[in-house]
Amino acid sequence: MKEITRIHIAKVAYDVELAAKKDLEAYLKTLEEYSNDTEIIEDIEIRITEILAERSIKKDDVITEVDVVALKRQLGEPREFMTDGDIVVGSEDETMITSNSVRKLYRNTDNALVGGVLSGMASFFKIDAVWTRLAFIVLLFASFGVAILVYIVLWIAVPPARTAADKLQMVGRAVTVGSIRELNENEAGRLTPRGDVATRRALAIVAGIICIIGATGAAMATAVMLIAVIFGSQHTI
Amino acid sequence: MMQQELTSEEYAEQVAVQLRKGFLAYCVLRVCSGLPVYTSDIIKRLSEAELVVVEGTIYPLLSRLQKDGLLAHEWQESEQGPPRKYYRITDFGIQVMSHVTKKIDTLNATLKKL
Repeated sequence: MKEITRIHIAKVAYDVELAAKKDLEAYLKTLEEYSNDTEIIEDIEIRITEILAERSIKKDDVITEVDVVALKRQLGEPREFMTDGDIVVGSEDETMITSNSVRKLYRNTDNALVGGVLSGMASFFKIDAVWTRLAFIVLLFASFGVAILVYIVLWIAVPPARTAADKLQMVGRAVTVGSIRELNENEAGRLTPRGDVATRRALAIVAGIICIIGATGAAMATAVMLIAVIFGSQHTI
Repeated sequence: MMQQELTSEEYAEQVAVQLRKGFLAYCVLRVCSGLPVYTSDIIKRLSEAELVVVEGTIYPLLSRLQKDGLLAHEWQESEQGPPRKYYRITDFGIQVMSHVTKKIDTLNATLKKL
């Protein structure tokens, strides 16, 4: 008996074999890497439910691996149809997937020490992550640890650069089929700025350690102060 | 320069891909030039007309044609399930389509002469 779990496709709930779910989720994730146009993804998800219905799989029925294979065959590989391939209208390689090449603030999870907030901010301000990290350490002491709260808020509020489109927008590049292909072909899958990688890495790690020590120290200092204040006020009562 | 050996079929397929470029967009415009059509029915019409492409192709294409103002979509209630997206051609789309029709006629005329 194969392990069964649940999956939602276009808001329809199905039972699904574990392996089939992984396969299907990987497929949808690849689609998202090529486009952050949620409408396309939603429409394809709707189509998936229809193809399943044609295979007599309705709501709450079980999706098997065989179904997912058939599905993928019918829809095709994202690499085939999300790039130029058959669809070219307009100019070829600069087919815009999203029209804006505006720099956006994302958390850079590829170059993160903690949550990627400072690395993402560095990309946003077009500087090296070392500088935002140093600035953060200074702020950490200057603000008696309040900066750590700001960091946590940003960690929650700022989205991670997940898709290829996000990563391109993070560094202010236009999202085109060409630039996405370039990103995907880049082995590490990230847009590394120029410079000695080893040195930068070492610097980053040192900065990160200082950061963490600083943060713990500041947090402990704040905690001690808070306790002192509470105790102090209790004594005076 | 040939990077690897291609069979005649593979080579022909590459040529066909080049030929289909633009042609698919034209076919979609034609399908949408009557009553508004539901996405899956567009796929059905195309496959019935034996235009062989993977289904996924249609989605970025529809999105693109819509962004360029050749198609527009509207939502229609469906008997079962949520409302569905129906596509219809715009005035601009009709103009583009008629120009492309002329160009295809020219291409056909060329073929007949050769």
